[in-house]
Amino acid sequence: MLQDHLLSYLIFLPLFAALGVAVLPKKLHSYSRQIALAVSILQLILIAFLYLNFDAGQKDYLTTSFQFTERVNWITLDLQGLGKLSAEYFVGIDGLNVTLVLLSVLILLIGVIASWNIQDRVKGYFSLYLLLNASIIGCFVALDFLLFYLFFEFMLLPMYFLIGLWGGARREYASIKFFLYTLLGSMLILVVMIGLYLSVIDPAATAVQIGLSNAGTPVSMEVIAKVQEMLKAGAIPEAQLVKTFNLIYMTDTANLIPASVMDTDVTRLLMGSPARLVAFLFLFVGFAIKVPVVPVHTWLPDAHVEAPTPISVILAGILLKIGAYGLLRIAFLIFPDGAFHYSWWLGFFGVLSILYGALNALSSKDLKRLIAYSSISHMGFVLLGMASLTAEGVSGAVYQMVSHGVISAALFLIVGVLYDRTHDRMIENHSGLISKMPQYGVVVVIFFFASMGLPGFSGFIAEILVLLGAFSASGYPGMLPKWMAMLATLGLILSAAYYLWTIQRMFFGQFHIKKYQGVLNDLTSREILMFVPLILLALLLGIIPASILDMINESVNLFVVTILEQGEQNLQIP
Amino acid sequence: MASLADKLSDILNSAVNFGPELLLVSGILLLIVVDLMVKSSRWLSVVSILLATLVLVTDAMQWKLLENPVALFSEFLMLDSPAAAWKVVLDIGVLLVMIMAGRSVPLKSRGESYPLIFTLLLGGHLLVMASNLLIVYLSIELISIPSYVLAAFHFNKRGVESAVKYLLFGAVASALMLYGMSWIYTFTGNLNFIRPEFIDALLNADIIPLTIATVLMLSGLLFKIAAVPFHIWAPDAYTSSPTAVVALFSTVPKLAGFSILAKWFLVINLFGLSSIDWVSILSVIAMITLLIGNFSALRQSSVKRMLAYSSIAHTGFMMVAIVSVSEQASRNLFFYATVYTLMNIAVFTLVQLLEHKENITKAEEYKGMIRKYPFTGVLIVVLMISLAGLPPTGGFTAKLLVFTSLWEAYDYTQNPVLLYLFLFGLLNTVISLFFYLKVPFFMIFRERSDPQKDGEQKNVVWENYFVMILVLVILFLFFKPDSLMDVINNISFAF
Repeated sequence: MLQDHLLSYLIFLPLFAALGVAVLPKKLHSYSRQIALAVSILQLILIAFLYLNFDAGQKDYLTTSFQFTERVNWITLDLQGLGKLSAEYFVGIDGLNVTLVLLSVLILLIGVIASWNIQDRVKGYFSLYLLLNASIIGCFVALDFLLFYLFFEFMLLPMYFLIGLWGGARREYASIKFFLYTLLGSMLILVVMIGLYLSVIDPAATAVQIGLSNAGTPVSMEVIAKVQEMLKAGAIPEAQLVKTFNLIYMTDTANLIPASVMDTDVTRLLMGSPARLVAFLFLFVGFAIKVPVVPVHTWLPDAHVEAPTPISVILAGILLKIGAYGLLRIAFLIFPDGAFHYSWWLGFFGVLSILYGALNALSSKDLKRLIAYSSISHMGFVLLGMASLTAEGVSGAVYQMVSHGVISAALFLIVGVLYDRTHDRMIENHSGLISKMPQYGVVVVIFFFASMGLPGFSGFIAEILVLLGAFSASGYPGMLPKWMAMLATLGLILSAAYYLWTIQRMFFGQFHIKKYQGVLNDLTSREILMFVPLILLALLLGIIPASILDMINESVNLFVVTILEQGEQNLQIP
Repeated sequence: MASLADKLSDILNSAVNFGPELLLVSGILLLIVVDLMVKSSRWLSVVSILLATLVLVTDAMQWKLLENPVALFSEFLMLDSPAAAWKVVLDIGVLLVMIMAGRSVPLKSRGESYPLIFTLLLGGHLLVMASNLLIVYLSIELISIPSYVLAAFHFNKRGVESAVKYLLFGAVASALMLYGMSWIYTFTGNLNFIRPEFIDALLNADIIPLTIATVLMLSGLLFKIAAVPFHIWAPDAYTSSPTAVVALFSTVPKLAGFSILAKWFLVINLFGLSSIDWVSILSVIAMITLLIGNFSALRQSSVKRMLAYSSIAHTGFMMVAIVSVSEQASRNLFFYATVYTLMNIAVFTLVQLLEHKENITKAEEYKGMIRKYPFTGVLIVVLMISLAGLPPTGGFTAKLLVFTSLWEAYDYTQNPVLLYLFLFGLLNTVISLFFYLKVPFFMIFRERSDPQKDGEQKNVVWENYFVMILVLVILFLFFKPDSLMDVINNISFAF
């Protein structure tokens, strides 16, 4: 059935297409873009089905609310004395990632349209693009840490080549910087991954292992509870334990091996601090590099400025969200105590990113750099919303991910349109553009207003939710103080300042372009085709917030409840 | 005192289990004869590949049939499952090198090279089975002497210079080791280091002379595995030796050295009873090895020299498994060694290919080669990613396993040095990526200075298929590591 393997189709379709494109004979090279387009359209049909069949109704637990799941045993490694290592091909979606999957497919489709004019090494470009496509989707739906890590790392490779081969003047520097920076983050994540899988068991597989249940039959809840009880009592010999990468089992503290590094009961120290808190920090830094959060953001302006337009679109629209999603799904859910303990610092870095990004945007002379910094600023809201640990804040964070995905994708396309015509991105070199390119001007104004959070656009709903969350979190002692929410509001004002100023400088006034001499065409029909769905989406999400909120509400509520309850319960500070 | 008849029957019984080595010896003699009679390098290379395959098959059968450890030749050698398994890996290494040597002009132009390589393999076989310090010494020499000769096989000034350097370093390291052994003999009165009385004697030995003796002994082994500070010979020897020889140097002697170090380290550590913290000392050496290997590789322009430092860094990663001191760690070391052999020989095959066809040795000379060798370029990317240890390659799985055992060791002993080694090792991956990407970078990102002519054919070479098979195995080991691990699990490393 389609339903059973839908997510696998989403992942493997582009993967096989990538291999197919890679071996295309020379005569057929130019067809690679059609293949990429076809894959994206097929994916669009698949997610339409997914959207229609997604059940957003009430759930009991966050951990049991996954849909479209697929679970196949992948690696079972016998480590003898250390037990068994088990990794699964486990994918599924719930309210936390469903919107991101929808967003990714859409942005990837627009990216293909934006790439249509690529002439240089078409085959290589689209086969890397399709690989990127597969690893992005895989990353969002993976529910096994090793699988997630595989996609998370693998994504770097096509990205490295796409920036480094089709990018701008300093592309080589930007691509290696991007790769090394993100790899540094991945290594921190890898440290935690090793620590975690050695500390967590798969109770179902362990039950089979010790003979409480038969292989092949589903393991009942009672048996799982019994295994967990035996585990805590130390009644299972280590060689019988099945250690797992399963992200769902990792969230349940009952699956932690007593006295293991990640156990909550002992105050195990790692470099002088409780091991779980250190692990949370490692994950936080690892994912923060990807988000990016100030001060580990410096790869982003370079990568954005040098990347070709479609890749900037993907980078801003989707890849940044993977960092934020990783924080939600892995750092927060596995270490709620860390999220709880460090919420002040998370909020602080969120606000820092908002303000620092906005101030940098204000001073940027290059339009693309300005938008890159505005991305940092807007991703700061995602972090602030998560840090608030309130339903409003987390909904706002998820909402902002989608909204920023749509808007920033459009903003980078806007830069691309201008650069295609004038081969220049400097703000000061352009003025009065609206007189020559009225349609373009309208699109720019729409998205600049959407991005600064004007009511009626998606950004408004997202940011208002985040701010509400941040304000209400200040009611709890030890959580975000009021001044953070207030400073974050300042970020909104700053974003209005830099966008309005840019419109004034580039689009109003006397028409003048410094370098370019030829005719300045208005938007082509291909470009309009890219912008229209994005405009509709930004408006739709701004006017009918329920379109997203209904899908994510249930999961977000469970998420917040879980984090707060377990966070307080697990937190042990010596 | 056993009677002569007993001794004779022991030798005869041992000879049965000594089959692969006897085969090797006769093969070496045969090769010399063939070289004298038939002046055709093609024949030599066919016979060599056949011989390597035959040795591999007999070793694999021996491993499969082996039930209990067998002592050979009055306990000079011990054929147990780890030894049998290591022999198979060494055989695989030599077989791959033999195939790769099909394009090696310096090796093919002089027939002596083949018997020399097999002599080295014989030394490796003896070393992994050694249970007596005398055999350890003799087999290390048996590995080293052909190595010195092979290092000079370019027969030019640089080759000879580096070979002499290698010889001098090697001679000093051997001398130190021999001296250390003689000290140890004074404590134990015995050279058979798997005997309980040997360990007992060491336990009772005075700590200062024992430490000196151990350090002397270790230096010989560290030399073989190219660990800091005994690594200095490696970059020179690697740069000026024929590439096929480098592929051999970076795998076979190193792995043989690791197999004996893993065994010997348990003895040195007196199974955890030593009052000197050898684990911490070796961890620090591993850290320095990683650091020097990776940082020196960053600055190299010659690809072979860069890969030499990369192999020093890999020594550091494999030492991680040694300091974890557990049976599982030995298994993980074995896994790492297998993956390392495959990827290293594969990458050197491609380096040799481009060296031969395009006469290029420096990373920047690789520029634009992707246009002429598209498939080779893709293979190099995968191999470099694997050497750096990123998914989805066997290099990642190997690293994951090795660091898993390190984490367990840290968890068990709470020795903070192990934690630093853990973090340090993983952060080194980031540094290493920088130089591993250098070759793909030039190959793919830079254009050739002489633009390709329109009619120029893309090159189809057999190396692509050979390496493709190796790459597929490397990828397979990521997706299904259990296939190899299940085999390794049958090896009983405890002794």
